Amino acid sequence: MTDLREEAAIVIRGVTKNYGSVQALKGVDLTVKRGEIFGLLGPNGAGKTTLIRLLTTLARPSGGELWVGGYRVDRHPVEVRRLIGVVPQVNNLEKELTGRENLLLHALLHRLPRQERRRRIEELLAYVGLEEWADRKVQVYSGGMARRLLIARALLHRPQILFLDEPTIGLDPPTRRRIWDLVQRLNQEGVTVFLTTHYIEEAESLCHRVGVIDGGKIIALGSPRELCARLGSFCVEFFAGEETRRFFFPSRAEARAYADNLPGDVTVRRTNLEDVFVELTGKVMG
Amino acid sequence: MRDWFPIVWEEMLTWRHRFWFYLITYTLSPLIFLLSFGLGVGYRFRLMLPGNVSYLEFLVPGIVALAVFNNAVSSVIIRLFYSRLFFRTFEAYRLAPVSNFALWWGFVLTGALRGLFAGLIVLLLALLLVPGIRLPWPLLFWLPLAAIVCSSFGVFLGFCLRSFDDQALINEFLLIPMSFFSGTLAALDRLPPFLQKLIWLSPLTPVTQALRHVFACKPVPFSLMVLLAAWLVLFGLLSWWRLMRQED
Amino acid sequence: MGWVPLVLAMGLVWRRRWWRFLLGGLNRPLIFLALFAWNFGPSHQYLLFLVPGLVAMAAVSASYGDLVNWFTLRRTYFRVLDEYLLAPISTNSLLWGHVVAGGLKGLVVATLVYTVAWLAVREFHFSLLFWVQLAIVCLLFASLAVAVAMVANGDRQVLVFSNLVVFPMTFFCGTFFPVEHLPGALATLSWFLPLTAATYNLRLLAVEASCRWSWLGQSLAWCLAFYLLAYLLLVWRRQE
Repeated sequence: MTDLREEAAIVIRGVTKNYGSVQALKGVDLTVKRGEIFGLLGPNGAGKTTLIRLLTTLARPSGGELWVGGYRVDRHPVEVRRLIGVVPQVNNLEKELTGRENLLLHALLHRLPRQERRRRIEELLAYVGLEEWADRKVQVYSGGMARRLLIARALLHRPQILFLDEPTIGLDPPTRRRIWDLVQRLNQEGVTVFLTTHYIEEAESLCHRVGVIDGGKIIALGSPRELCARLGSFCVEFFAGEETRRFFFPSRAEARAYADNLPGDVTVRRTNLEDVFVELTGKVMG
Repeated sequence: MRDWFPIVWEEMLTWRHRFWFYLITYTLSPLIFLLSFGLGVGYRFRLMLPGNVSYLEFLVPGIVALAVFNNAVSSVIIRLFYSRLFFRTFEAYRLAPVSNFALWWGFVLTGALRGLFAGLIVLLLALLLVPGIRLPWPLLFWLPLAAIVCSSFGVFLGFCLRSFDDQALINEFLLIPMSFFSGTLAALDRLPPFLQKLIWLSPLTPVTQALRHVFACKPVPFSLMVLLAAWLVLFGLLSWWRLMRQED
Repeated sequence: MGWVPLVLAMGLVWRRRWWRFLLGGLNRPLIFLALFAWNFGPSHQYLLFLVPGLVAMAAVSASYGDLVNWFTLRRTYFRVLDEYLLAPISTNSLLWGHVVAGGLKGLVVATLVYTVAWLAVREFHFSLLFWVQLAIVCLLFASLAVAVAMVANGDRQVLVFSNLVVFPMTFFCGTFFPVEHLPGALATLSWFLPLTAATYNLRLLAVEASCRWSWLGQSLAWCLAFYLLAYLLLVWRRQE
């Protein structure tokens, strides 16, 4: 046990969190390995942001233990903060400052050595492609630009583990892909990534493993492929008078055979995470 | 001609939620001015003003004018600021089949109502705090008129705003100096000579002067009446011009 | 030294809007000074009384006013505070940085008001102790600003508190007239407010160049108390 806590990037054991009488988390257990891209998938209000706030020292759990990078979060918050980078869901840059000034502020807060500061800032501005906008106020940035600057800021102090809370929410498709590329590149450089999302494609195309959270509990855990296989890799979908019904089969042949017996318009397709989610929770995503 | 009604109605809805907030904020600052300047400074330092009135008695019409002006102007500026630049709800009014005049008059009325409310609160405070004060009947005419003129000034400024900085600039450079210098806290003839002339460019000055006449139970000079009417027409025309320009 | 970047951050933001903050801080005190100079005549005894009061008023509004809005908006609306909370700095550095930044601004504005008043009236003393007393007032109200911002749930609540508590304080704590002139119990009560002793000491230092240590001590105690309060509230917020 102790070994795992020190080796894994993130270990969560029986974590609960209450806000007054509201139970936001009802006992979460989860382990994220080093070098992984882990996605936490769930509808709005499922507890995703709460879990990120607990992991990033911004809130304290009501019960249970969290370990990040080998440190227990509530006992060694400062050490944890040195190891992690956080990209929050809302843009919390100083709007009155320029992009470069925002990065400088972060570098000072994290005490980057003087000679490294300038070089590192230029490096990251280039990394996220914001060199030309670096001296404009953040106020005038588009949503995608602000998100890229947030990522640059989170990476400035070379974190081992990066947390992204809904990294592509509200962005247009090309920008979203650009962010995904950024995340993947980072991961190849050895950074562990923990992200929350309620976009199915994001979890499917980006994450090595996915946890589905609903009502403050993890209800499924595995690679996207595993989760779909558990349900049946192929799906037969048809509209039955009042509602759309879906049935799942382990192989295409079985699905086809079932579909042939149905009247009307029938679709046979691969199962996706959205199906997994709807079957597990009875809720529609997004 | 009841097209202005929805604008006023929307304002009344916000009153319903914030009545106590308005009541407290509108009571507080005149109360502080009356207590600290009138009772504190004026009494202690035996400040007497022309006509041998005590500073406290001198302050009452000035504070009434100050309250009407501040609240009429700032409420309508803030509402127009949020409506035009922040929530963009102003566009909904522009899309409605409402004439420019009705639009203008609607906003003027919302500001005037707030100014009037603030003015009435000061009158009540004066009745409680100032011994022997009497409220003459002509106030029933002059107070609403004052509120309407002040509010039309606010509407014009509100139509001119381009950014949040504009609002701060107008407030610090224009409204605050204007509100204190236009004969509210100091008599006009105590101002330095150049300012005595200059201050007549402020629409608040005829308001304070008219109210001073009313409180002294003297007839208000006809010229003040004309001046107030002229300001109202001028601000109306300027606002109309701003509205036309925005259509381009 | 973790607090230095925080002061720097506020400095960077204020650098672009210095005229607004300066104007906002100087406007009212200077208008009141002009009004009373015209009302009483520029050589009246009252101006000697008034100027230190106006300096105290300027110090309070400049160190409290902007900081409380800055902090409330950044905590509740923009969530910028999270960025500071995620940095490996202590709670005390976080608080001290903000209090110093807010207090410095108050000190600058109040010094400007004092200088202008000195140019107009010319009978005031400049002494180190005057600035020590002034700095205490600024830090006191900057701490109060952080404490209020930690409790308030939005700018409307801040507005109510500022209007009901801080704004009246700048008028009734011996700034415009002696507190003995307040009716009845209020005169005694006023001495239990954090600004009164400080204003009286500022006046003594400015007009007679002497210091009453009990007044200095009183305002220092208030300052420490509010700093401690702000610290505890910040810790409380951090642990939600």
